[in-house]
Amino acid sequence: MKLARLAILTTSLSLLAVAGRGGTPAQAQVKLLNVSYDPTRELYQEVNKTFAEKWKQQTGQTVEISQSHGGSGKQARSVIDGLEADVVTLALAADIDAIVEKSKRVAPDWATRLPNHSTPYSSTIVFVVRKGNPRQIKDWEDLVKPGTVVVTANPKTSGGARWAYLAAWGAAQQKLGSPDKAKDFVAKLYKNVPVLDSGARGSTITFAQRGIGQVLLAWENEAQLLVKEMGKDKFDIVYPSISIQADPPVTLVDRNVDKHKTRAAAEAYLKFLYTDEGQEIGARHYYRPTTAAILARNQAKFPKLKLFSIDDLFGGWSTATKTHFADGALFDQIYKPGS
Amino acid sequence: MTTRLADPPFASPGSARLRPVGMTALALGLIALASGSAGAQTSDPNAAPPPAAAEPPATPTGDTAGLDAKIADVDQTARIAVRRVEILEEQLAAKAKESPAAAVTADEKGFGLKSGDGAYSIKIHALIQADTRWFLDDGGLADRADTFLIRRVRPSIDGTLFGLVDYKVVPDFAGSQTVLFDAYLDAHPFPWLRLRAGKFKTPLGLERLQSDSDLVFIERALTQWLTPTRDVGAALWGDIAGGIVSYNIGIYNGAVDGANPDVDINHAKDFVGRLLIQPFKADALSDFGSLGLHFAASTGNRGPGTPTAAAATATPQLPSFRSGGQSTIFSYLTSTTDPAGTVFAHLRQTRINPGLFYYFGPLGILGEYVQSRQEVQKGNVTATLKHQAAHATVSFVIGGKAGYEGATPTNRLDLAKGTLGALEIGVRWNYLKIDDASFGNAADPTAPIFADDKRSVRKATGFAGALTYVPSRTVRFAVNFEQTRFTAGSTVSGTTTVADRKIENALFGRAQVNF
Repeated sequence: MKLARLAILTTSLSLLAVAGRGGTPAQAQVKLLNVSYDPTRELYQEVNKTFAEKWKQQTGQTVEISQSHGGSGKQARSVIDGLEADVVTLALAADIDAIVEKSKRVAPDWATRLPNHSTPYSSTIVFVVRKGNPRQIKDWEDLVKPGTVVVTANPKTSGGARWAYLAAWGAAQQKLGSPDKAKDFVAKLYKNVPVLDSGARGSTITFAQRGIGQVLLAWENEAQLLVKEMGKDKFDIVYPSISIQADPPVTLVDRNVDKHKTRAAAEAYLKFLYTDEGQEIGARHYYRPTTAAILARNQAKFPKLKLFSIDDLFGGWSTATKTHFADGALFDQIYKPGS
Repeated sequence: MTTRLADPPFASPGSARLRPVGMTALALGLIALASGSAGAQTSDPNAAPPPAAAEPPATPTGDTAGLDAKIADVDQTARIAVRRVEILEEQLAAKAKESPAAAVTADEKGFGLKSGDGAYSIKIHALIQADTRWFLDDGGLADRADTFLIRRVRPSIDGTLFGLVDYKVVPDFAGSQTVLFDAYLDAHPFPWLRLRAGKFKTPLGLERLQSDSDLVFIERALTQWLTPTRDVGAALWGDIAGGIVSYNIGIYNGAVDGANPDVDINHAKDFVGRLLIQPFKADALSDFGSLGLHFAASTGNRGPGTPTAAAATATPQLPSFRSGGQSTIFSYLTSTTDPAGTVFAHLRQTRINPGLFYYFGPLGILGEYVQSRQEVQKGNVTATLKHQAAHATVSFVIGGKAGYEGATPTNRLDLAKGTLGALEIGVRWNYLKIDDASFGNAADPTAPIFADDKRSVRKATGFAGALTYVPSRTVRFAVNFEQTRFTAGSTVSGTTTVADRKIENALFGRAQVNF
């Protein structure tokens, strides 16, 4: 009898406890944090809005997506240090690998979980010059001419700048024929860089708002956005004869989505980037779609140029990072601040 | 930077500080300087490139062409210099963010100072409990006086040194005397390996390990009398697998049940260990609440062997036990005139202490069992006595969340916002059972007697209810009622016949400040 009373009391208290917690099994609202690199602000603003509407229609759940932007390397460091991103959409696969290695917050197989090595869009590095291209900058060799002032960010901290550095190195190696000549070429190029911002967006400001330099090395989408926002009467875009195929990857942050119970929404969010609608949004923001049909439909926005990949010339991100960007590696050898 | 709305395209976060007046002034100054240095730059082969004009030069004629080019050069140099200053400022600001200056903190967790990198800190706390106890029908027992009292006055200091070692000092000034409760260092090189040395709680007693400020009831359950209050020693402890498994193993002087000693009086030491499993700390199971499965044990000698009767009489190394109302309900026999009439600890004491807690939203359950086996001696006779205690406490928090760290209001009292804090309701059953062998054997007159059941109870069983208003984590107001029934411990009036000690109906009140 006493046991029966105890059981009734315990059951009642448990039911009250469930009621006290709200009790509904599915959350009515979910929050996601997308930690991204510098130039993707506008892209993800539109993606977030569109995806939230879709998700609400599909599930009845309200999804609120916050964005965080900064240099890709710094953003990766923040996630490693505990910034509770649900997804990361960074400039470099190496930055996601760093999260895997140093914090284990992302599963090691992240690159194989989504198509195209988890890269929904690609981009490349192009030149932005002042209207009329007064210095007649047409290809990489024009950047090393005496008196040419080049604006780019610091490849030690900026993903975009790292792509730009490798684009210059790869172009020189293909044109000049050897890594040694490429090294000399890149050293000369960085002698023409008077200011190194920490991120791609900062270098765009240096060039466009502060009026410094004659040529900006920029993500293709950043260049197009700059011309669109600041006026076609101010800048021209120059496509070099050869450049690098830049693949900014995306992934869930496994440990965080499990903690936040947001895996389903976060997965759907990333998969949305691969849908036709997501690809069209990317194209509108000048990211090259990976879906062939969408790319073909937007071909006018994306002039064809010869592209090489990081795997082709640098043996992948791991090797490239060690060879070029680690402390004391090639970039540190060729660039001395203030020289 | 985390934003809900993205920054406008190409906005520079640091630029507003320099523009427009400051930047113009700085630029003009730099132009003036640069006009003198531009030539020097061009003569240095390692210098930055001579900046060229950003805009296409006009097509001037004669002397104006050279002048325009010169101005354009100077303009570029000035812009570069200004931008470098901007970037430097941004870098310094970012660095300052990463390494903030030392900070003074004042919040509901105390007042403190902290170095910018968090490696050094000191924090001041205090726990003050003003209590009252009222015994309904005290039965003429002198130790059931209705009283107001200051139960605890514990200022404390804790903090961190070198980012590696935590420290804590807690004295207590209640009862107009100073007693040291905690004084220890805790080195934590890894979450899974920590070393604590000094005076602190041993890992015995699941409720004992809860902070005094966070208990559901004003007084702990009867189980508290079978574990030491504090002891002096060293322990290795840590959390494994994100706290799913916690261990604690230590060596201590060895303390009598319920005692708080500062030094040892013999060479023998106690070994104490604890394992705590919290399976719902796994991310995938966190929706199920907080479950803790606790098992602790200790063993140690109270002396190297049989001490002299005189020494044993002076320090018998045995406890006495109290009721919920803090009346003494059990003590061993002592004699100031006959050393052979005093019971004292003889060699080994062993305790085992399984227990569990479970918290789910506003619901909390905590229960444990303690068994203390102690070898005792009186004269030349020895025996091993096994005392046992247990309790089960269920609590429910209205307007908040229950937890091992105490009830937490969802919203603290704020009349302006219309929030009231939380109300915690608790019920408890607890008992203490003294080994029958303590009282001799009526059928065997030669059996040794270690306690007198006319003055010491054989068993105590209490039922209690608690109502606690928690306006915030800092302040609590509590009312408890506990009825405790006893077996033995008294005599029939005017005779020497053993009778049950009168039922204790105790009403408690407490006002508490804790920060």
